[in-house]
Amino acid sequence: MNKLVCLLLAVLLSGCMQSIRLNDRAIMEGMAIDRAEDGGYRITMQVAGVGGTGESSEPALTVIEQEGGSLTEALARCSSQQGRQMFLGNCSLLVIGAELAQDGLDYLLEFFNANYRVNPSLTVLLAQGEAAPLLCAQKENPLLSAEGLVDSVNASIKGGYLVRSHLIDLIDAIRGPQGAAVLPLVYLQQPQSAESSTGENAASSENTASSEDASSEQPEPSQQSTQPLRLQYAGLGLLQGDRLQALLSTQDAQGLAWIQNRIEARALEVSEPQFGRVSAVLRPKKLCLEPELTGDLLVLNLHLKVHSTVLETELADGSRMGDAERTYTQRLQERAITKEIESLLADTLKQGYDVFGVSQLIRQRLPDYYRAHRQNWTEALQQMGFAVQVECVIDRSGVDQSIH
Amino acid sequence: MPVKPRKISIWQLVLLLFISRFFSFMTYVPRAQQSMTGSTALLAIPLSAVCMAVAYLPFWLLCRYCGPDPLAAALRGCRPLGLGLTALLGLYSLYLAASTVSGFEFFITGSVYQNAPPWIFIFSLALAAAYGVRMGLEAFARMGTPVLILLLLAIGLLLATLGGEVRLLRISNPLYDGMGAVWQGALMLLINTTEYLPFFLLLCRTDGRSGGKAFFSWLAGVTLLAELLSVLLLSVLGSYAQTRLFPLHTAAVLAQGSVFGRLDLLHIITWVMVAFLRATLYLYCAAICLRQLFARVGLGSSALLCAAASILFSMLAGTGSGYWRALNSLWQMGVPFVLFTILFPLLVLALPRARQTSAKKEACA
Repeated sequence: MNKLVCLLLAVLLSGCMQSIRLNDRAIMEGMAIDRAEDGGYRITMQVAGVGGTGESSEPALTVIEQEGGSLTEALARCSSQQGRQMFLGNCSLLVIGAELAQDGLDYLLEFFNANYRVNPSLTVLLAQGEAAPLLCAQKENPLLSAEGLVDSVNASIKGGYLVRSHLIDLIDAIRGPQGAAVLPLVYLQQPQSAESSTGENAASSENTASSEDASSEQPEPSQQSTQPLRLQYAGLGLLQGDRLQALLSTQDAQGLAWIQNRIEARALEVSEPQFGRVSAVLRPKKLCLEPELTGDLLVLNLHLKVHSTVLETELADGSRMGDAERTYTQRLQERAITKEIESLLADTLKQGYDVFGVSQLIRQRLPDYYRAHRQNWTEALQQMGFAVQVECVIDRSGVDQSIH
Repeated sequence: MPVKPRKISIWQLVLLLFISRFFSFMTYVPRAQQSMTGSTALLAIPLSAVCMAVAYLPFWLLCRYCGPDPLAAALRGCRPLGLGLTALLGLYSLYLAASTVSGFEFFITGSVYQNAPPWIFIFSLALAAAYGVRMGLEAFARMGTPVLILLLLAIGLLLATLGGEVRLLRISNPLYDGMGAVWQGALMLLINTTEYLPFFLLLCRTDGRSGGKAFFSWLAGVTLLAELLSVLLLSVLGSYAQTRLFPLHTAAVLAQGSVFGRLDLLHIITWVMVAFLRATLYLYCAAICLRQLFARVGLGSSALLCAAASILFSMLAGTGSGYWRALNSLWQMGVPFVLFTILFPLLVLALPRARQTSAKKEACA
């Protein structure tokens, strides 16, 4: 009898919790937020739905745009327009427009953090210009769905071109002692026929720009090319507090990737006119960050050990990779990595921005120094010295004999 | 002829207390603990355990000289005082049961079913706990073992999947804010530890005699668990944890195992079982006190009455009633802790008639 009562209670009471059927939900895959003309918010969403023919079970993606004085209002209007409740639980991507980032992200981050359905590992990107076109591009190139964009970002993180920027990382960095955070800066480009402008090639000549450049229009796609739009990375947006302060180059982004230590395999080509060209895949093995106090001068010692596998060699004299060539290649690789890291430190620490947690490190290792300089911590960061030491070891150098 | 309740093993009681304490970790709200930063807790936790061990001494003396049943000893020593203390213990147990129910409702409506009416969860848990009490101590004590296994499995999976997200850089020196902050945190943890109450009331219903070994085993176990979870949450979530209502649940959302997917579902299942056991435990303590005051009331009736009272208290908590806030502030000031761990045992010990010789054995009510 007791078991029957329990079973009845379990069955009957389950209807009291206002369940919503799947068909009544609009499952959001990605969201882009821009500043609307009236000062409110314009949100662009990729929403998954069941569509297509009976043969294909792939969910169709719909792009929806809506404006509102607040994010809650905009989403409510979407729900009433669509006749379905917007569901944020599957949202994996958030793209923020540059103008909005300059105004401040506190309100926006509060919204996503307070929504219990949003996953803290939501990928957050900063658009160079408006964010909406990045989600609308899915119509032209299916690879630019929210899932595709996230896959591209994750692959770039593993490849050492980008740094991770989840919602949790953003809030932790802004609220923590470092106070500064970075977001990958992205834009869409229609590739040119011959001069392919991949992110890493364009980066080597880019310099740090001011934050106003981020809100400039995106590069115009070529009128003649029929290639589909592609996602490109233009470096990082640096946030101090919750506002966009500066832009960092792709070289800085690569330097930060070494320090964040999430690289799985970074492709790096080194070359010198009299030596030749060597392409290798690098894997970081050990990273050691140690602050050292000499009198009142604080120096940050950074030691990075990297293993390298050479895949392509094109030496000037046509020879194969011998011991001397291996040693020289290692030095070239060390120099390239050191340059990336030093570029990052010069553009961030020397400007008073802590983007990789050095404040936390000093608070942990030198609490007295941190306490003494806490009130003027930005100046303390600017006066900090740094010493970067990279050790690169080639563990494999490909075949010894030429094919022909 | 009344049937004596069957005894449980002392280790079953330890399991129940361990699971009950875990409820506090699941409902820990950082914003409510403004006085203690994350890293300070790493030192405050073991310090509070030491203080708890010292606070156990009065009860140990009480058991040694007056037997393992504190209520019977109090009634023997001075009946009016014994009845008064029993009533206070019963009310405090009801308060803790209601806190458990309202904490459960707060979590479920805050993190899982935001649009659901709160009363459904309050009624469901309270009535289920009443049923557990009606089944008897042995029945819900037996449930402790599979729940503990599930709990350890959930924690183990959490540790395994979040291992790669650990950043020890986020853990700063626990003494950064000074020893004063550590003591403050330790005292806060101490007065929020309530498991001494079921230990005191239920020791006589176990096959253990003094319970010292069991108590210290429980204390060591929860201290180790608290330390482990604190290190995990600090190193994985960092400052982000301060912005979340339930950091442990957030960590479970973040944890993604290849086969299991998101682990928050496992966390919620564990949470429900832990909440049920804790609510049942405190309702049982309240029922014991009620039956001590009114011997004719059966276990089932007392369970139902206590569940009804806890539902009422939980509804008061949900409405933000001034009475509930007053009770909460008394609890936060440590009044129940001082009263029941220090004053109560010492007061009873001072009564000559409360003491019994080792030859006398007294059955629990």
